[in-house]
Amino acid sequence: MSRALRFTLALSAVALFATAAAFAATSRTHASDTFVFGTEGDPVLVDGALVSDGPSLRAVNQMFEGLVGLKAGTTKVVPSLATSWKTSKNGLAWTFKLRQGVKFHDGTKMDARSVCFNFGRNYKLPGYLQGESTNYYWVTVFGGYAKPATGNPGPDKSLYRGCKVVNASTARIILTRPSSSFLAALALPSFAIASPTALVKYKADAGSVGSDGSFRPTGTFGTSNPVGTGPFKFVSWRIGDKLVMVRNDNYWGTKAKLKKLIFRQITDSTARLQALQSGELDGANLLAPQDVPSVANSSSLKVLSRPAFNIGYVGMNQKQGPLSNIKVRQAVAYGLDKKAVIGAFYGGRGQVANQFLPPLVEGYAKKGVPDYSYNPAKAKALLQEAGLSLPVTLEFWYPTDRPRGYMPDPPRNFQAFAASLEKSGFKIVPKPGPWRGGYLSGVQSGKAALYLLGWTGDFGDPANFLNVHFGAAGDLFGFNNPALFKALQVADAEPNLDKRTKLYEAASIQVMKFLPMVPYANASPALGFKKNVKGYVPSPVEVELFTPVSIG
Amino acid sequence: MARFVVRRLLLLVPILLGLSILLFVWVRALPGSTAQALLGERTTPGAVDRFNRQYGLDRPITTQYWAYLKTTVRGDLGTSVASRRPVTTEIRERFPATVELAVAAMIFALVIGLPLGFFAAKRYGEFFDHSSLFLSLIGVSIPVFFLPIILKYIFSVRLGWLPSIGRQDVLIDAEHPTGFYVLDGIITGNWNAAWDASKHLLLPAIALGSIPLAIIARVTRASTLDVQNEDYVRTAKAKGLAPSAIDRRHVLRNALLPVTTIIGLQVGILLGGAVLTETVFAIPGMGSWLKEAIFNQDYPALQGGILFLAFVFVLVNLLVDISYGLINPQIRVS
Amino acid sequence: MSLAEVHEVEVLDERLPSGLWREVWRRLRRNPGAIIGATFVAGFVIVAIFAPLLAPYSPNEQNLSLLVNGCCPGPSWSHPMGVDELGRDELSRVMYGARYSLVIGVVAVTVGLSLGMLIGAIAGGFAGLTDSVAMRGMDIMLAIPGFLLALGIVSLMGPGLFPVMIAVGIANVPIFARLFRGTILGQRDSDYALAARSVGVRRRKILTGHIIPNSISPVIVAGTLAMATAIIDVAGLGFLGLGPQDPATPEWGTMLTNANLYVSTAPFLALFPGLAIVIIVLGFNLIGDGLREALDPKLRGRV
Repeated sequence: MSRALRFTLALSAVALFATAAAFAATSRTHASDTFVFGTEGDPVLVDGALVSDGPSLRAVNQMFEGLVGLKAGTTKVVPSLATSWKTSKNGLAWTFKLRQGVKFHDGTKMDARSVCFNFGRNYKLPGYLQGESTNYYWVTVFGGYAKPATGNPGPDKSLYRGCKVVNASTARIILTRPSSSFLAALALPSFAIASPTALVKYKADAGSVGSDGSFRPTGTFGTSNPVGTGPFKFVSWRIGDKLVMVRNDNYWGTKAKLKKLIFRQITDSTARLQALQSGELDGANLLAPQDVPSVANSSSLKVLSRPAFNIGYVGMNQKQGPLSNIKVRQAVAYGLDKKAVIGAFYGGRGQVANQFLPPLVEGYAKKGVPDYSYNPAKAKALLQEAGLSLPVTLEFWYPTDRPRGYMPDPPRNFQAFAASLEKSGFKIVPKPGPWRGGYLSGVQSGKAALYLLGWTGDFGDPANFLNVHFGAAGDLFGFNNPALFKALQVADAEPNLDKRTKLYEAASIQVMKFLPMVPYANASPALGFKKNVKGYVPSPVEVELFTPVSIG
Repeated sequence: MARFVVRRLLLLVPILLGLSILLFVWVRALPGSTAQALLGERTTPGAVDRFNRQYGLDRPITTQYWAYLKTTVRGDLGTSVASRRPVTTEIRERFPATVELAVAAMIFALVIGLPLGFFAAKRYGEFFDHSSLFLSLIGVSIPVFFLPIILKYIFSVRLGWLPSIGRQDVLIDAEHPTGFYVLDGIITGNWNAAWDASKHLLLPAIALGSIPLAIIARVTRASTLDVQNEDYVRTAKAKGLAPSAIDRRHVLRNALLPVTTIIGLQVGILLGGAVLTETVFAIPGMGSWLKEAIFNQDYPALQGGILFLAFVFVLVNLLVDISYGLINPQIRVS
Repeated sequence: MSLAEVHEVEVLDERLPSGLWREVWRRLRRNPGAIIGATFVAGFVIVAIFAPLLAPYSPNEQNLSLLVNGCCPGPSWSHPMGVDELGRDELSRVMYGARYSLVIGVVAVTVGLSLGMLIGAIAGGFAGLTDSVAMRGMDIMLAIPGFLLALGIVSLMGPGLFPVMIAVGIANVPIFARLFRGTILGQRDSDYALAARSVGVRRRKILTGHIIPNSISPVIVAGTLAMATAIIDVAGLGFLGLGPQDPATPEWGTMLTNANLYVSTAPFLALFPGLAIVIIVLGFNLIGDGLREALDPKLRGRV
């Protein structure tokens, strides 16, 4: 036998041995009180006040609690750290009765002072932490700071006026004007109550401004020392890898069934699926629709679905080209083959939307909504009525990344829509961009004529959908419609629930007649789990609590 | 010799300086601005102006460069926009993963490539030679992003033999004193962790190492052919030395010399390929981080990361040069 | 840039009188590797040119009704390579993709070659300070690993097919510049250049009339090999999502990226464009190898 041959044989023997050995060592099982959850991204920080993204909020939600919470699987507000609350007659003072005997993970007591400390912290944030990039929910819900840095809203714009310690177990929050969505907003993990001792000790707000002008936290609260009252406690966090939490054995309520909870960051949905299939994960967030059948048909896996609390839409900026003409906007609406897209791409997990509010939200109009089913002939006719010569050229912006429940593969949605619009008298110019790398900023500053966007509700209130988008003139849609603004303002201020719902139903129809965008999808995001996982209740706001979860 | 080393080190200074200017200018020429990236998606033009004034981004560009150079020399590469952590911290956490991957890929390339090339030369013109040449050509022709997809599909998804992503099973509680997971496992005596980390490394190393493997095989083959025709080998043959002894004492030793020179270049291929390999295998290293940075318009990360990698690349090539100079006295003189 | 990069380690400085090209052609024809390579490349060139005639469907013809459960039915008689995530015929897309890859390779290499040769010629021809400055500039560029350099240039110009071609081309510049300068320096000291100088031929004339034409052969070899790596690098950038921004573009690297989302249900969507890249790159590598060997038979199989 030649030496070369012998060598090759030896080499293949080694390779074979290695793979065989590897084979023998796989097929793992692990302790059933540890849960590994595959998430779509790393948290930015585990400090609720300073984050607004899904992965951060999900992590914060396990370790912190707010005055109120949401009933599992719904958007119904339920007591949490506050056991009850009442409003003053003028709707300005909210008095919260606090749960007794609750302790933070560091052993300090949760009382009215901690509540006021946390609200005060947000209100009095130092200038470099102010603004929507760091403190999004405070800005959108409460809208003002005690000492605003240049360009940020001040006390005059603030909904929050102050917080009063009535006694150890009673806190009062005072507002500058009545708000019907204030209580629901308090359920956001961003308004959770953190240990004041820990906030101070680990210098949550301390940092320096680097040579490049960015904030650099020097404290460790948001990176390695988050202290709340939640059912899980922080253990460790390695960015790009995993966040480890353990059960809080001193939790005031029903203690978690799991002993250990690990969030594993896997951005790529295919890789996440493969990790689930190979047993590396016990659960995985956001399965792609086309992968759902293989999980559902697997003997060891199952699929859970979140309620469709979102809306995917094609936005139209009325400052761009002929889109100020309602006939052109209607032509776009008729030119989008919504049904084909939902049918082919959403794997049975999507419904064609006919209005901006998802059916789950109060104010969803059951009838009287204009019908814009796909009709290329009508689209062309409308364009001609508008006095335009065909084809009408429009720029269509879309993101190249960041799949969402309502938009599982954005370039795919774009391509199908572009094709159907081109059959309807339009000429589409594709304008792709990475979500953060220019797409969103371009769209939000009004540069895009048509664009793909969507929204997942933060809390269960129509204001969080309609008022946020159409309540004031903005660059995103580029229109000024005082009648619509007024209608939405009146609806939000209405304290009577039935009347409020009626007002929002009318407003939802009004939006569809005015047509600032074409809604097309309410999709139900899918999660994958091992078959023996119990107790996971998917939440419409996509931030689930792991307390009731168990394996086996 | 000392003069040789000093001269090489001095040559490094203008290169690094030029590199810093190149990167500085490059970042300023990039689309979108630091302000926009930092202030986030929902910012307004007014806020951007205020931001620029506040942090001196409206100063003359030379002033800005001087400030940048000073902080960089101090070892401060700025703050990542995406994570809001110092770029140096990010690099410290991620670089070991990339080094581990590159080293594993290099070991794979050397262990297979050297014998392949050597025996191909010994069997010059025979079937083994032809097929190893052809194989090595296929090796350089498979894109580093295509091979992993195939490997993963076969070994992870279909067969389930090897993990598809990451560096270590999340359930393994391992200490990481160095950040090199295999080494960490060995140091701490946690054999399970070391074994698991090695398994995670296998597919990425094969994917990343295939091109260097092919090149090493070809260089080894060529230099072995050269050395075989040298006078001293012929003399040894004429003296009646056993072929295996000639191979060991003369051919192999001298044939390996040119191979060392190309290892430096391979490091460049490995660092570039790491961007793709780490992306496909979800390895939290420098490569996947830089890719994310591009999409997040995380310019401080891009600038610092590329500067650091280029620095490493230059340094490795310098070390290769110096060690080659040590082995081969001819170089020093010229 | 693997092979081309390595190639410059050992610069060919053998002079090749123009009459020898016939000899080169003869040697090339007798090299089975080169013939296989040429067949691959020729096959793709034919497919690229006649794609509209050969492809059974239009590469952009969507057929959403073909999709099942959100994705793509595999190979069948009517769609031999299956259909992609928008119900488009994969075979037709792979065929049209050949056009992109060939054009991309040619443009990228042309950019790298022309700029690189220009800089190399200036550096090698004028020596002194010009040489030092140009070569230090090349050293700085070479300090950034090739693919990272291309990545940096693309993020500067913004993603797209054109920026990607330019970026890969520019990343190749220092390699060609060094190679060309090296051969020119070798030629400058050769006997015939000395002879020309001694009879009073002007420096520029010697450079353009004698040295450059005689330095071209190693560049041709490096250029062919660079075609291979350029195609891979462009596809790699496309794979990272930096390639053609219209996702309908049937560029192989972009097709591979798009396939990645669907790889668990439709692995064939990754397989076919991937294989196409491997085959054409292999083709160029085989031709490059054969050429080098034909130019200098002593170098058979070297890098």
